[in-house]
Amino acid sequence: MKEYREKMEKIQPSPGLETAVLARARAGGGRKGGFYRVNKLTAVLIAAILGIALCVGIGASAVHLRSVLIPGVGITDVVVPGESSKIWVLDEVVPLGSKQIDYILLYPDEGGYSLRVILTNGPEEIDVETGKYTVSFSNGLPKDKAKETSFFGTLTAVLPDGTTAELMALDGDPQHASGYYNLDSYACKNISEQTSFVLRSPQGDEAAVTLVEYIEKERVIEKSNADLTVRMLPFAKGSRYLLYDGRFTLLDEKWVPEVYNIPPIDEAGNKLTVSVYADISLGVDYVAGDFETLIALKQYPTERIVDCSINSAKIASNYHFNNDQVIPLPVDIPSKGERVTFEEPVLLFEDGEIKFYVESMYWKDDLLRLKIAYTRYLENGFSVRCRPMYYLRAEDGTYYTSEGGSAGGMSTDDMTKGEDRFCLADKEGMGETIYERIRTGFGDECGIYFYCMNVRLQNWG
Amino acid sequence: MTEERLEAAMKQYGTTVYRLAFAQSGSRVDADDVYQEVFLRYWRTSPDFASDEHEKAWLLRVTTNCAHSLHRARVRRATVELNEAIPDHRDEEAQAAEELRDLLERLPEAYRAVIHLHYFEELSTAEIAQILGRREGTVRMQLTRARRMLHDQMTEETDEKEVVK
Repeated sequence: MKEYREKMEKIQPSPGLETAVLARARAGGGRKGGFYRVNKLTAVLIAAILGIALCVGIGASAVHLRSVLIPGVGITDVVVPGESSKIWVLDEVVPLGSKQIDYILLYPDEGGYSLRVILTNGPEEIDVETGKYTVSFSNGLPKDKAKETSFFGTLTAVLPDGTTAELMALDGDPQHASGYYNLDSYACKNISEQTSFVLRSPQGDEAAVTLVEYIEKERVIEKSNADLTVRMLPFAKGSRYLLYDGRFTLLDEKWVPEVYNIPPIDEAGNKLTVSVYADISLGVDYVAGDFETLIALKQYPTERIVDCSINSAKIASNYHFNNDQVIPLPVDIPSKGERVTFEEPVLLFEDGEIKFYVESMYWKDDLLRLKIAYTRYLENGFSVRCRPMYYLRAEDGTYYTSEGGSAGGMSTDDMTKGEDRFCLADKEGMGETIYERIRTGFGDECGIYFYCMNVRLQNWG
Repeated sequence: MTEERLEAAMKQYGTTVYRLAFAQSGSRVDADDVYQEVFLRYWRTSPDFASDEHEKAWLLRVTTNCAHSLHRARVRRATVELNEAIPDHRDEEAQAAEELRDLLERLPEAYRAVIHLHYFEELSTAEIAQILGRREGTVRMQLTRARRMLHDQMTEETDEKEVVK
């Protein structure tokens, strides 16, 4: 464990994190209880509104649920075509016993859905008990004198097929006036956008919830061999879009304050579609691709406005790799148990200004791992050396190549920005490709840069 | 909540939060996100604490929950993080991160926080149980099993022969 400690002591927060947090906090980082502004964990974003009548078991009033669609979910922003999460925002809070349901989140999880119910307790302070699936609240007493008052104990969902399932208390915010309850996906397989279910407190109070249809405005991911084509949402006149984590996201003025001064995409009022192609981008803070229109981006923290279109075509034409490029491996494969490191990295191949080197090779779990470094020169003169990792399987002449890329770089602000996107292609080196993540850097900063390369290493037998 | 207070909290606990997030996720970029989420929650909720220990425990708790949510929301794929040694003085850190990642990915997600909080933050099993919302007996069991798994892992790697050409 001494080794663990020694290694962990070397780990430091990435540069710029504090700046990113402060910038987001200044930009209006959230509100208490109720509904939050754009927040990676809860993936809150309003894209559509629908009304629904909610029948409450104990009460008389009808409550409207607005269903919205959030493209992507969670921090990692797993990009899978068709997946999305949905959150139901209540126009009025739904009473459940002495508490209230603030909103409900339904998101894809392990082939089904997970349901999260967020309850609020108004202005009272809350202490989260660390016991099993229990949330306790102190009702206005000073924390050091607070007695744990059983709030809900166990919140139960009565599912459409009549079975019941407990919702696990998840809240980690002892001072926060809300409790999070999560229903595991295994219990949620019968829940979809059209189902009804009942939430029940241990005191027997119930609230009936019906999730109804929603309007999808989904980001569609298309892939074409080594290209990543991201077709964005259609832009409506007067809308403001935030370039957030690699996506253009509609900002709803009601819920999100004006933080990012992105001008209307088309001042003439035309609806536009933007396609972004993943090619090598040399610079930082702009989007490489084939744009139909110019997009101005506001960046943190320097607030530069970057003209994207001029650079994109140049980049797209110069640095797009041929899918069928076959690279013979210039070095001998090590034996299993042997790790070979080259004092001088061996040139693997070069393409224009970019050179790829093999730095080391070793076996791990029946995979031959190559450490490949490449050099790239940025337009602002910085040279960046990156090390993507490629997994290969050498077995009876078959192999896997990696498809992915890295676009780390140094900005003129000396901030490091990076993104990791890597996947294991099928054994032909093409086909189904999954991109784990596309991100712009820290937080909400603008500027996508990414590339995709499909290199097939020659079968060495 | 003031910016000064937020900034002070990040300076005092930022590294602690980051390392725990890294221990749980095994990924620097995920740790970046968790870090931001934790301190933005701190900003939003503006909690009052009885003591520094209370504040730290709150942050650790929120960190584990955020990292856990990340783990739950992610669709699992065979992927690997791209390590970027930028600039050169981070080579050592990048290597440490990679080695830790290799180590941690052998552990189930639930064990990683336990190992980190015990061996790095030097918390007792009772304190860890409090932060993670588990029973103390569960924490002890997870610690024992994680130790055994890490020991097996480290023994295996020392059998590898290094060749420099």
